[in-house]
Amino acid sequence: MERISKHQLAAMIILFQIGSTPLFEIGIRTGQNAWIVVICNMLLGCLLLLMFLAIHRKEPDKNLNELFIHYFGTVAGKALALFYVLLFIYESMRNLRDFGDLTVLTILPRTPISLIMLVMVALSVYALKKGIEIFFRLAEFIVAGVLFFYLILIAMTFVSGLVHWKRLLPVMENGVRPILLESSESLWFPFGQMMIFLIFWKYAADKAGVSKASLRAYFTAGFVILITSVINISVLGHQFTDISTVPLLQTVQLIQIADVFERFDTLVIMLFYAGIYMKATLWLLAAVLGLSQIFPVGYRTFLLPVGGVIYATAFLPPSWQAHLEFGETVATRFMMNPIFLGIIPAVLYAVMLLKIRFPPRRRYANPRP
Amino acid sequence: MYKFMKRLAKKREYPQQHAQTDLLLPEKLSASLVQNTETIASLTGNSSDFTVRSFHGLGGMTFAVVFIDGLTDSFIVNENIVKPLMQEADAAAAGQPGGIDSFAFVKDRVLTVGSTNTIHTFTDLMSTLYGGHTVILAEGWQHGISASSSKWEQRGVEEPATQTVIRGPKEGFTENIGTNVALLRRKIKSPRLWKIDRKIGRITRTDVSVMYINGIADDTVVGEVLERLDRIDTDSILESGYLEEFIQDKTFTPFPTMINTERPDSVAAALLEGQVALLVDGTPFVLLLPITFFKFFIASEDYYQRFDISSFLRILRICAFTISMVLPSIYIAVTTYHQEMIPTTLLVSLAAQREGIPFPAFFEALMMEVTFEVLREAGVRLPRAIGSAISIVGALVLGQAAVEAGLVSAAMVIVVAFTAISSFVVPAFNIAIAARLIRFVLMFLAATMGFFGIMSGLLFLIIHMLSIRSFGVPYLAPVAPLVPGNLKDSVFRAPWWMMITRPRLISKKGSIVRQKPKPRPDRSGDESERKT
Repeated sequence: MERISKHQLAAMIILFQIGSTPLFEIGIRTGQNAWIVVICNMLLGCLLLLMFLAIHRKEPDKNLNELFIHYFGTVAGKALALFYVLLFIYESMRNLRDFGDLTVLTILPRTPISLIMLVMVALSVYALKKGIEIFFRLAEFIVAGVLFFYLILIAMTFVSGLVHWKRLLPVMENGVRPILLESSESLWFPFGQMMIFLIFWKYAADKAGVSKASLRAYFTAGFVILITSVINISVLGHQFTDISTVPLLQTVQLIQIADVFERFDTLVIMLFYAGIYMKATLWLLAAVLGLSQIFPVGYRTFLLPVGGVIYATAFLPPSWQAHLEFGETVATRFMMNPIFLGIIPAVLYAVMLLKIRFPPRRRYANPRP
Repeated sequence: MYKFMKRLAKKREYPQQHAQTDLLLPEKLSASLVQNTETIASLTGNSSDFTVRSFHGLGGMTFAVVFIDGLTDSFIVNENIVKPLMQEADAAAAGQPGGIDSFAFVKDRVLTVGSTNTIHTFTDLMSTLYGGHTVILAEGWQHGISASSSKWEQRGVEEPATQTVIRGPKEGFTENIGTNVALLRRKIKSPRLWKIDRKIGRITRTDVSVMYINGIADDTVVGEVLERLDRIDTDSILESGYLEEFIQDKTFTPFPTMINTERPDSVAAALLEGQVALLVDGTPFVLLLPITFFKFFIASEDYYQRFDISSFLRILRICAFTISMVLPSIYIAVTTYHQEMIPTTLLVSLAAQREGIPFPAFFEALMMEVTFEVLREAGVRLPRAIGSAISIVGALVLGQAAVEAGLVSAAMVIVVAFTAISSFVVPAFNIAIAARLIRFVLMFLAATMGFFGIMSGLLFLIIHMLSIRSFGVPYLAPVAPLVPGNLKDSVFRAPWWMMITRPRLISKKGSIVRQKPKPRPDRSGDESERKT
């Protein structure tokens, strides 16, 4: 089996968490308190993460799909796994479309979106064809660059004197309630999505270091997200942040140092590219791993078909607005995130605890796993 | 692609040619001297450099010495082989009580040369002849004696033409494998420096030596190298490049998985880190393996200069390598798609320059890059005497005139020139060539998709490099997979006393401690010393 080190795991968590998050301003509905919502999300998400880690620690050699099959029975478990595969495909498609539209909107207005998405899907399939290990090493290779670049961007906004702390005031003028309300809705993205690592923790070579590495990486990524949130609001003000398509891009456009260091938009889009690409590919990997669990065939077989499905479905929304709206509907109306990222894992955990507390009667002399 | 090529290669079945190459050798030497000399003559097609000298010597027996003219030292043949046999042997034999076994007597008492061997077959006989030995045959003997007498013209140890240094030893390998091994033995005076020999090539019978330090090199790597060498079934090995292609891990990649070097000090340093050296007779280029990508940016001089300077130089080299790969494509992407990235004043001047240019930036860049590649290739091949002509043509006609004629913009010439110079900064030539190839692909991607294209190309490249292994060692180690301890000697170089361990992925497991921790220079006496 392929093995990943804890550095690789941490790098992947950081890139996955950052992923497409900087495209959006989390909790901007609470105005200038959005950054407090981020902190709140991060802490609530941490509770979720602790639950996921607890599930993992109970069964360190099983991934999510194997757990489903083991604890819910073959039929129900496989059906559930299939639902998760659909979720992962959907999320991958969202990221793909996000980036396609972002690129067409900003740096390549006259390039067909089909080409951009095709290149990205092809790269995803290629990376995964090389194996899980190679893909996680890719994360390890680029994570330092990505973090460094974010650091430079943050430093430059300060140096060019754009940050006005006053725009963060007043803090919590309506009390804690609206923040918690907003937080309860938005904590799933991206913090709740840590659920996906239930599939990958099993591959970690150093079982003991998993929790520590995951938590550290989680908070590193959370810190980056928090800082970008603070900077967006303190540079643009919350009204403007609310209406701008990609707030961070807007912020970066204002950077101007010595008439030389300016207009970094293209480079920032490339930074987003790295994050979104890693995230979309990880969703894809989770999907094909799930499929290979349901149908006993190596996961590489599913790469091309699933990649094709992701590519095809990415064309369904007629525009980015429609795409965003669709995502909003699925997330809130159908409660997709709370169900898949919260409730089902919680039920799974409960079942696990019960089964461990009250082990079922042995039907066979040698119970097969 | 690879599978396709393999299928192509499989489709045709070549008739086995093993039997033909060894001709119709009579297996054993016969007792008849005339018959033996005739067989030698027919085997070699009466080639005139095969010298057969017949004479009467010890006890009136008929002897023949066989050697190849030009590979042997005629002084040794005359003074130590022929002369004793003709003149001194009888006197020595007279002192012997009773009858003598002429074969043993000649071998042990008469021949005054360094080493002798008994020859049984013609295959042995031929291979010892090619080694510069002299073979002594006699009427009535069932065997022959080979006597070492090799000496041939060869280049002396000179300063290597590639990989020159400012500080450090100036000697380089030569075409003679014996000299090369000696150069290494002089640097590493340890019995643990082991050497395993192979003869590869059915026709050329080239000497190949695998050298490593026992206990530091990873035994599995050594085993793997020997296994891959033994799998080679070809008729010729003329340079280490042949060997490299036969035993490398991945064929369809621009990235080499072995380093070649002409410098004994580089090889010695590599051996001490647990790498394995492959020496091939007939070339001064020694192969080192396993390697990682970042080793290509290390010059041997880095270890002789101060650590801070070398760290700076290494970062510079990696930057230069990246520049030589991406600069033209960035220029294309920026001028075609992302003009807003350029500061306004520069943009105005660039636009003014490009105003009269009839071609799109991609075509302009492609033209200039191809021109430069042609110039460079011409510069390597052309006779030394007309070298200056090329530089005049290149610099004046192609550079200046093309700009003045409005074919290309001045900025483009600067970009191409800087790219070209950057590609020479990398110490290893074979990785610089990789950048040359990749550059054109990236230029195309930049022309179609701007920065997105470049980024995608680079991502593809990184994934590809991550999948390469050199004899089991991941290519991008120690960065991915991250080996924190080995970062001390990768992009940076720490001072020597800090590099306590050898590279973990390369050296043998459990043998990575290089020195006692922290024998750092004693600073306690500094102040008082200065005062006195």
